[in-house]
Amino acid sequence: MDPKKVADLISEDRLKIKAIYDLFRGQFFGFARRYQLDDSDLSDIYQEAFLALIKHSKNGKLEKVQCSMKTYLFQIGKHMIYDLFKYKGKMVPYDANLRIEREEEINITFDQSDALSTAQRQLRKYFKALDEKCRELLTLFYYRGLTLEEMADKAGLRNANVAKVQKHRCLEKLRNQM
Amino acid sequence: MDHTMLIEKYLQGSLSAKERSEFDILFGSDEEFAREVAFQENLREVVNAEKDPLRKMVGELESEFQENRPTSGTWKKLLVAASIFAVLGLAIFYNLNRPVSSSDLYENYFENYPNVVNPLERGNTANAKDTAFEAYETGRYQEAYDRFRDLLETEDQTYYQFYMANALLELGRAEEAILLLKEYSASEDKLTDRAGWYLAMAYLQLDDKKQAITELEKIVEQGAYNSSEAEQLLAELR
Repeated sequence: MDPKKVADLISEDRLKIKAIYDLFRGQFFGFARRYQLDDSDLSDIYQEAFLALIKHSKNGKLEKVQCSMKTYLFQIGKHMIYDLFKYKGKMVPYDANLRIEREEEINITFDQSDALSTAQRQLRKYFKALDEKCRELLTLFYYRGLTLEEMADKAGLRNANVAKVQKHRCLEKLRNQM
Repeated sequence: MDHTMLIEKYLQGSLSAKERSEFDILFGSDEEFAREVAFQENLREVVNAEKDPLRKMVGELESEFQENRPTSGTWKKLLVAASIFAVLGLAIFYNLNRPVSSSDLYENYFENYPNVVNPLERGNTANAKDTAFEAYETGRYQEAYDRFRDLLETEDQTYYQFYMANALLELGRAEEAILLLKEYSASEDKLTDRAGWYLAMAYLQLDDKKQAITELEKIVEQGAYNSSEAEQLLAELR
């Protein structure tokens, strides 16, 4: 894979990374049109795939890869598109499978820990739509790993019991949407 | 122990051995319990992901990409105009600060590639492609760049990349142009053989004489597009 582009991805240089992001963004949408997904799903998938690409470049996974960066990125995206269809319980459009790829198919061993799964991305949408109080409480619990007492203290709640009830309420909101 | 508590302790890694076996049994036998564990594990991943600075950056890149598209809103047009002036200003600033030779040579040799793929006829109703090329021909390069980029999403025509690169060179954004030109020259399109010359121009704009010479030598060697000019330019660079 083009070592210059890989080096650009690893660099902390935002402009260089942005140039690559923009370079493939339009082409990815062109490529993914055939799956007839809406733009918000595609944008979501492109971001996730690009994030995985950066992570793979940082942990040295790209060095041995033979194909172009574009092919690699699109394969990750395609993997996620198929996953989305599976999640929604739908079939991949027949027509999309018939299209012959211009670039070679490659088999990517895709480490799920580098990206959020389809179910997680769905959950993320609902999480971001929660009110700020809920987001704060859930972050204190799941990210910081605080106990109910500590949560009550941080979030300015009366006691651990109130924190427990509030957390339960927030989880309930999320569950109802899934 | 109550299920909620059991899951909480599991997520915080504080189950005792006895609780652990209770958890395992429930997880294997109670579908609803297993689903709840999966739900909360997913939620933990999501909450953690929100704190990932790389993810935050990618999210910003996406919003910037979407904001840069041409729309009918006037304030957005103003923003685009302002950014063109900023880019032009920067380009001028950089050119003034560069050693005279490279930028002079660039000025003398660079001319953007003419629109040969979509001749414009006056008076016809314009489609998206015409509008893009019209912007290009009349020197509205930022707009042309944005429009070509949008076209690339819907049409499978790689030469848009080539024209995008030309627009970027006009805007003084050689680094981005280089990425596009390299991408384009790997494709087999009708203008592919022209990419080398513009790659050389891009390096010249960046004052990277070494790379410019390498590209020019390739052109001369292969007798590719503009090879006589490439020869002349090489002589001046050496």
